[in-house]
Amino acid sequence: MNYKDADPNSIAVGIDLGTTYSVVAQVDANGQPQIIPNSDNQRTTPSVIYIDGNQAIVGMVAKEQTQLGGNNTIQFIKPHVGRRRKRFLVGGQEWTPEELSAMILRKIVSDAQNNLGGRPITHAVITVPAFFTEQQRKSTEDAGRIAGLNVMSIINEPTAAALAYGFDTLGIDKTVLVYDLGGGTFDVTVMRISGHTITMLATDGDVQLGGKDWDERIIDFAADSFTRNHGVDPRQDPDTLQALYSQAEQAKLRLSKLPVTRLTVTCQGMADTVELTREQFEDMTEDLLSQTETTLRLTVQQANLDFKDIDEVLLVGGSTRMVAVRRMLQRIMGREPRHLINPDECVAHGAAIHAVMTQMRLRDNGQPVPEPQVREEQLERFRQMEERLINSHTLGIVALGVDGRQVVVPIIPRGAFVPRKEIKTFRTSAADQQQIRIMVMEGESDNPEACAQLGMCLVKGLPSDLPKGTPIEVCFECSQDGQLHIQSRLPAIHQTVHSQIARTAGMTEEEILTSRQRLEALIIS
Amino acid sequence: MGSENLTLTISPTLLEAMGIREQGPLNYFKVLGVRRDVENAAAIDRAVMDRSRALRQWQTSPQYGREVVKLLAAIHRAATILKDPDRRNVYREELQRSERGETRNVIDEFADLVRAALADGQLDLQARAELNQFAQQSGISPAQAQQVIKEVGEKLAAARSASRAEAAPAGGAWEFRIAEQGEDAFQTMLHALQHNEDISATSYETLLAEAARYGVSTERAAVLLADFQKLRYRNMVRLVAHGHIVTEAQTRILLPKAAAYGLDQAAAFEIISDYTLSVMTPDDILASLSMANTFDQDEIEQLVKNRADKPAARGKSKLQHKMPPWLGMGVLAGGAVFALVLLAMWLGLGKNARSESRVVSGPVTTPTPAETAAAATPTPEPTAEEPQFSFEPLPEPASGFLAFEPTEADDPAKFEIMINEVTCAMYAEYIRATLSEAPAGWEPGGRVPAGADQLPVTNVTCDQAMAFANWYAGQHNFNPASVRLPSAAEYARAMRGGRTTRGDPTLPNYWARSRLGQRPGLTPSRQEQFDKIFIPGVGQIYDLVGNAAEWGSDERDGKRIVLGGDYTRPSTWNHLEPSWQAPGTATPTTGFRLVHVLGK
Repeated sequence: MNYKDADPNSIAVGIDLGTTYSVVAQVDANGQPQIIPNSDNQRTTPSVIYIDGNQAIVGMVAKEQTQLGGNNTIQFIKPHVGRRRKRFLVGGQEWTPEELSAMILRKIVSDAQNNLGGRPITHAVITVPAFFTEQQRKSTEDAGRIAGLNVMSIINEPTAAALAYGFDTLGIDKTVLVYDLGGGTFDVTVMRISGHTITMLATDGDVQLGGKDWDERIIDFAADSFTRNHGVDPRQDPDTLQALYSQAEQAKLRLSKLPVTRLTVTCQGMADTVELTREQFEDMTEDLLSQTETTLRLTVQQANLDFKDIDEVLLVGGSTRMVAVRRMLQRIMGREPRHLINPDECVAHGAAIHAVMTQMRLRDNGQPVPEPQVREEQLERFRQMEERLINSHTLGIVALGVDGRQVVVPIIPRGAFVPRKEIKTFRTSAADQQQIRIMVMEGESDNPEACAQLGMCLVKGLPSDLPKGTPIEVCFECSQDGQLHIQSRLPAIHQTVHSQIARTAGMTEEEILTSRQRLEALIIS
Repeated sequence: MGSENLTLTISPTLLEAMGIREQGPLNYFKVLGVRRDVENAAAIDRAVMDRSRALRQWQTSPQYGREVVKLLAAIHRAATILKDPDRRNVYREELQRSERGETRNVIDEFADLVRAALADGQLDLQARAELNQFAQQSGISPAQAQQVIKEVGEKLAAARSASRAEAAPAGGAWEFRIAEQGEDAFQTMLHALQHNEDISATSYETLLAEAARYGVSTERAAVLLADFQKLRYRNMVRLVAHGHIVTEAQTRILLPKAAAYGLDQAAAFEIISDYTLSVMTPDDILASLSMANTFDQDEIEQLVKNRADKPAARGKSKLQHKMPPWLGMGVLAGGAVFALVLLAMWLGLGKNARSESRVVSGPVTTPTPAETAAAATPTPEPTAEEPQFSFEPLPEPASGFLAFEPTEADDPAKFEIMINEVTCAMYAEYIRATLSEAPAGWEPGGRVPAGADQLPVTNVTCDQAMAFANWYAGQHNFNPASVRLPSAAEYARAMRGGRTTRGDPTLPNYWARSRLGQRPGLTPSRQEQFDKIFIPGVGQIYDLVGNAAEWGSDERDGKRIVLGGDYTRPSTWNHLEPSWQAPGTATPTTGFRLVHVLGK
């Protein structure tokens, strides 16, 4: 990694870049993670952007603007990050998901800087859902770079949550399950906290499942009732629909506290009040909840555990406030999940802790990253702490199987601890092969169609006359920061063949610079 | 349960992944692999776990990931229904009824048609014919039909009066205050007339005269009236559809009513299709279209974005269970085909339809022949032999694909071929990503010569073209084995365009549906011929004949086939006659395009 010389004044933070809300945290001098509020003095900032001309507004004001309709606002960007050709038309211009994420980062970071007395924030740790693919992680990092941040590490949200929890209770051995239901993503992770070591045992998630799905069931309920009464579907009216979204979100929140709530639907001059009981709500969202239950059971199986082996359940993400979620967990676990951490803030807390740990590690390696803002006597805790991370998807390459069909050969399996180095030997499939193409795949099946292609290495300039079946060693090295390095070697000619890694993931320096310039032309507030 | 779908349609690959041997739409019992008399919730839970475990392996698949997300949700929805004894019984009964061949909710479908028929309060001839036909085919008795018509009529009247009451200004009644001047006052008056249902009784001339009294010029009044009529028609469509898509039968009833609104059929069709797209979620459209495999994903996404980029459509992904039974998860041919027809209209025919769409003068008149002719002038009169062909500026070379299915016994299996040859810009991206060698004649540093961005890349060897294919597959998340250079048979199939029969390929004008022209907007020194093969209702494909010749995948004596002809060939050249080149050769007139083989 290539860091600029650290400004002695500069600091590093942890960032939870969420589908619906984003949060910044920093570890204070006493070694405690603290949320840094935004300029409205709010601890979380809605991940919503409003763009008009060269003006971009991020946060609550932008969220309120969504109710007015129009093409000036954008929200729920996160699930689209890493889709290479995805563009959003906002405020008359086309933006990539990375650029939009960068706007959110710019806003929350500059607010945090102001709140910290103007000290520059140059480095950050950003969290992503555990199931995010390599490409989505790389794109998240790119968003950080567009926003002008040095992204020291990308870590999984459940890991961060467990770090935040484990940090306070170190020394007590226990197995912890993290149930993370956010605005648009769902993750389950099982970890073991033992001494000062946090070990991930298994992690899985659902690509598109979150609080938003629950909101949409409420919208459908209210809109169906309105349609029956008035013959007009309020979902057809874009402005009404936006208003319905925020009404549904509010109603869902109220139903976590109250047994019954009301929504008012106003459309084309007609108004309707719809009553919704908690029971009705739970009935219409039963399948969504059971989908999270399936993922939960599969993940615990994957960790070779039983529910009775789980000591604590950590609830992460605002949607875990729903009563039905807690009841379901109680049914499975046989006891009530405890409210041990703040579901909205613990991910950012963990990111901040991870930032301090990374800072110390990188500084020990002589890299110019900012000094942690923690008093020396408190630093010992961070130094002792150890994470044993696993990779969330199997990594492998495409090869020809014995029957001549293409298969994915796993090299680093899912759930393997990182950092990790694995070498596998393959053989050339024809005589006098001039070049070898190594296709790097991510996924759990041996069928190439089921997996995502991460990139391609081309081994070129092989000596001629290599016989068929010449062995080639392929080496995968997965770093602590989740980065993959690939090398290949031909033992036959006793030398490492220079391999070019053509990353399909990620943007080029040039593209990042262009995006950064686009953002610099905007006034982001 | 209402209009809950009874079956799920799952792609063969995922069925295989779940270990389900049956094909076609499957009912919930079969999807979960449980007996119809299942009572045991634990058995259902186990089935859900098994299916989920198998499916989740495919979450990372670029091709099937989207379907997996939907399927996981659908399986849990199915399990929720089967685990609840009451809902399971209702489901089982409905399923049995549908299996006995009884059409579900015939009366509801009939009511949908009646709503369309009565939307403007007129039961016109076309509407009567459609209703009669439907009633006869579905075995609805005249008494039942009368009952439905009466009920729907009452509901519509109630809805209208409710919206009138809500929209009326304080004081109860609309007041006409001529003293107020200007466009706003004029528009208020129009809306008042609409709410009092007087508008169809008021002649166009009267309205123009009214406009003058409001101080609105005749020209502006014509524009305002036109917009207003469209709005009225749109409101009627909305009333008919109330959140569902507009069916084909409804469309047949609604189109003739356009004349009463002073709209021609093309304008009316555009309003209906706009509405339908706004109701379907982009995902639904993508799903029904990708099942048909006729369009490139990106093209569809672009279309969807252009046509339905409204929060209403974006925000709703849970709509499918409220759609008519033939759309959504258990999509039958009807829905997909209709959506395809809509898209086809926009792709090809729609362009002409739109250029003609305008409001004719007068609320109840139909266009005169002179007007029709005037409207048609922007596009040249199509000739008799080639009615589908139309000239227009060549669009920017797109990287989209067009799919071809076998129509004759020995045609190649279904494949997609690039609409354009691979451009210099695309090749430059590849060079940058893989640090490959730039073709001869490029600027230092692998930059494209000025102005050549959208020209086909040439001076590439066959091997380079194949390496590009591999990279391209990775970029677009295609299975690498499925992207390659076209075979001669595939190339010939594409050149046949919309023809379903082979005909006589030795005739020099075999590519009869194609025309040569000048590619506009290029630097004069490299103006090339282009040709366009237009496939009715599907799209067009460029440069199969002209511009650069193209590397293919067939091999003979260590040489590779070169397909099509390049721009230096005379127009009498037999473009199905291939030439053969050593795969390491690169010439300034040879480029390439790729095919993507569909399915296995």
